[in-house]
Amino acid sequence: MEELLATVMVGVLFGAPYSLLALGIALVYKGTRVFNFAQAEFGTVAAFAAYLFNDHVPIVGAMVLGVAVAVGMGLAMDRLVVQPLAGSPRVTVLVATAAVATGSIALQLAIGDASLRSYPPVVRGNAFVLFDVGVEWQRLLLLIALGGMAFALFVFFSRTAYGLAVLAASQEPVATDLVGIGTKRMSALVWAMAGFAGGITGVLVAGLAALTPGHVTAEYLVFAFVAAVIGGMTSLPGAVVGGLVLGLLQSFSANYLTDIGWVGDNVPSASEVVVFAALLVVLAVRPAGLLGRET
Amino acid sequence: MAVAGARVEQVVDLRGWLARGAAWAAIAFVVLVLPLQLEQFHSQRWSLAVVYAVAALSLNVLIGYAGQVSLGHQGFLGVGAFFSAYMVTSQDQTFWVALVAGALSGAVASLLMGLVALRVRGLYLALVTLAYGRMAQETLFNLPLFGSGAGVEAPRPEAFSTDRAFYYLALIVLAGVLYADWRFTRTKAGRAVNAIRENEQVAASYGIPVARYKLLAFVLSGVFVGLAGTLYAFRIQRVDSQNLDFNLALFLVIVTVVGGLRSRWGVVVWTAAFTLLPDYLSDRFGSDAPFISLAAGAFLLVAILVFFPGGIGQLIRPVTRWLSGGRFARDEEEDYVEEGVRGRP
Repeated sequence: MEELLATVMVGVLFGAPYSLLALGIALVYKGTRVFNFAQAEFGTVAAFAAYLFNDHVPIVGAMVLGVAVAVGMGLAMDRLVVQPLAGSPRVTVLVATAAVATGSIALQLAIGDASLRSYPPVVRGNAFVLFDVGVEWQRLLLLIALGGMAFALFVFFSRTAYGLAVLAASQEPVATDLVGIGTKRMSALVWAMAGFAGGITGVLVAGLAALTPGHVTAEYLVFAFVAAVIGGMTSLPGAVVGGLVLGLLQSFSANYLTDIGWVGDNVPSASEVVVFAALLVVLAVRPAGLLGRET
Repeated sequence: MAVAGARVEQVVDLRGWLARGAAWAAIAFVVLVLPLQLEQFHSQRWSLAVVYAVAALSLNVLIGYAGQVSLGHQGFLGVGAFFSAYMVTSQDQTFWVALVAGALSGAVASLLMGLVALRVRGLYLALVTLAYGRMAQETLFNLPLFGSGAGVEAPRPEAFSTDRAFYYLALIVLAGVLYADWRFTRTKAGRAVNAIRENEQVAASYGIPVARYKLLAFVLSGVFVGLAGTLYAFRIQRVDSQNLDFNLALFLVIVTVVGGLRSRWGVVVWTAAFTLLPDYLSDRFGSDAPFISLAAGAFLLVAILVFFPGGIGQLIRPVTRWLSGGRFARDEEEDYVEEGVRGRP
């Protein structure tokens, strides 16, 4: 029982960064119909910027500045990549966002180098120990950030005029333009929010491990995308749920799937297979995702 | 339809043919003879450029002809690489058997993904391939069969033991793939696949068996990438999962799209250039240069997508058309943007 609860807890904690990034991915897809492969790179850029700012300002201030840089990057992408490519095939836009990610990683390699950087966590050590598992402050902060972000987005979309305008722009761009809402401004707003979600994730997860160029993309991007798809791609609650489900799947398979007879003692990275299988099953059985409504 | 050379007008003129012959000879000299002449020819780099060109042609079949995006192509490349190496190392087969086995294993892996693609469409398929590629790198290529993460040796046969000889072998495979690709676009099957990309419903209403031809495109792409994988393994004579990461998949997608979908020469030229350039730049300008060139390349890519949606193939089309006997002229009626890969996920 203890072990089961511990596995659930670890799953939720590990799912939080997936959910945060998936929120950004779903936001962008909902608002502008773009699969954003640079979403995790918002995180790496924010973490790198914070690392550089940390020479001059304390870490919390540096993190705020890092997130601001990520928001700026989101706005720049909207202006320089997404809007000029409006109307191109979706694959072209996808490749363009992937190119931004690649270029950003290459730039990090050129400015810094491939070496590991240790990046100070906001608060060191464990917040508490529950079910024999130490919960790091940093992971707890990620979960809190996820909660805050989800709540803020909920309020934004259900209580503010701007939220309604974003939804309108995503559903009926032409009609929205006609009633005087600037769809370009809505697109910029969505990308800025995605940059914010990515940036927050980046500055927090970077404290969990050494920071290398492209770190967040390498570690989180695929899972964040799978989480967003499992959740339904256009559904923000779905993105949160998808990320947590993915964290749970990984935690359970890492804990219970270590011994499968016919392939030898150990399936290497069994959790990867489980994630892949989960994606296939969701797409086959419920292509609109767990909480998605559009088809 | 932008199938290269579809509107080749035969302007037979002796001077023109002499000029074309000279251009062909110059190209043949750079690709075939220069390697023998140069003291310091980097055979391994050029071989890699050829291997990636074959892999990019495979991706061109999927994205360009069939309109199916694969973001996990390193996973298919790896299947060919590991399986062919396994055939030589563990099954004591000859290199040629391994080459065939590599191609077949790539075809089978790709066929399985094709079956998924019958149900899962558009960008969602791209995500499935993305997850597949990661799963392949982390799990499939680390199975006990493939050395439990230590990788597999892939010793070359006697005849191709030197790097230079291996480069020529890779060139022969590339030529074969180019030929097969060219023939494919000229057959009923090629036209059917193109029609399916443009509009599945319309294609089906003309009596094209959509599922069958879609799977055929996957199999063809799998054969190409399986061959590329085999060459990839035998180039450095061992294969492990370390370099078969998402970056490789991204690299392949980028060079294919920038090279120009459905433009096989554009794809080959750009893939080779983009593979070779960083290495030569770092020879000259120090070790930071490849990163700078990669960053520049990525931003160049965005610029090309915005201003020349047809990619390098569109830019060099006058040249390739002239080389194949047509007029040296720009296209006027090409509308690449409308022609792109469609389909809401």
